[in-house]
Amino acid sequence: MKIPILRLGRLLLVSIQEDLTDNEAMQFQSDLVNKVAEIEALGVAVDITALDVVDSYMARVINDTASMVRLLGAEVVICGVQPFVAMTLIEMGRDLIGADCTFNLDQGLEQLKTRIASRGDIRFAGDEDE
Amino acid sequence: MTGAPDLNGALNGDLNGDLNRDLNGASSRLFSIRTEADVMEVARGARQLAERLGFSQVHAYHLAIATSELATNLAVYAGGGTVRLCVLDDTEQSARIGIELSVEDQGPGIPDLALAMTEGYSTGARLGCGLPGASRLMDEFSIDSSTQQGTRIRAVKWRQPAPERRSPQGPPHE
Repeated sequence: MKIPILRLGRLLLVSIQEDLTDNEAMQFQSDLVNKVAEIEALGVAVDITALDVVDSYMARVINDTASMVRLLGAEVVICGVQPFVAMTLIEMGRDLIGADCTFNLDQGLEQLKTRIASRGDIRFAGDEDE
Repeated sequence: MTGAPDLNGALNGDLNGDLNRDLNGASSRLFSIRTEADVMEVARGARQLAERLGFSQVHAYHLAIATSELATNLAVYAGGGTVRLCVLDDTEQSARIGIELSVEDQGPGIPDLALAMTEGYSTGARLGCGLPGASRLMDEFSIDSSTQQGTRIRAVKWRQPAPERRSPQGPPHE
């Protein structure tokens, strides 16, 4: 299963809705990182609202992907961590998700825009059309 | 069985499993784990079973994630193995219902158990919180491993209100 990466101006939206196998996870990481580089994305929102099983492996994939995106120079936000997911990840005992999180995609986009604006990125003009 | 949900129905339900009864009359279902798809199936099965037995959403999820962590170990490190989900019906004595997770493999075994139970230790490219994480998510957890006979893990999640958070025979991880 290939995860669609949607483009919204200079932002990228990803919604992970199914459990990923190792190979799919690696494919997703490289697809996303390449896409970020290709369009020089300013921000990426990863929505995991619908993701059923976030075990330590999925948490690692999400975390690593976020770190990679940041290394390239884009902002990243994780959206929609469910209450029981949060309780389980913390119970398991490590900082499984280190990236910034928001309740939903809406707030995620807002936060990305705020962060991009606050770092003084002149390339970003909100609702620009390219 | 007073007030308990229909246990057989819970195991049968969507799971479509071959329902087996062991000597004590407990219902159980055996999953054979080889691939990552098997891991997802058993994790989903554990969660559905727990929810059908009336576990809270969080505890059902704890069980599913612990199952996923342990089954992942089977697929990644042990070259496959089995996971048995078993309903513990203790309602007559202590009014509690639990799900027992029995994980077995004939893999290479874990040479240093204490080390494997250590936070952040991993021989593979993993986070190293599979075993300690899973043990923390379950109410009871015991592990037995030898380099000759592979690894055996028994873990139990009780439907709340849980008796003790941790059993005395739990692993020395804290």
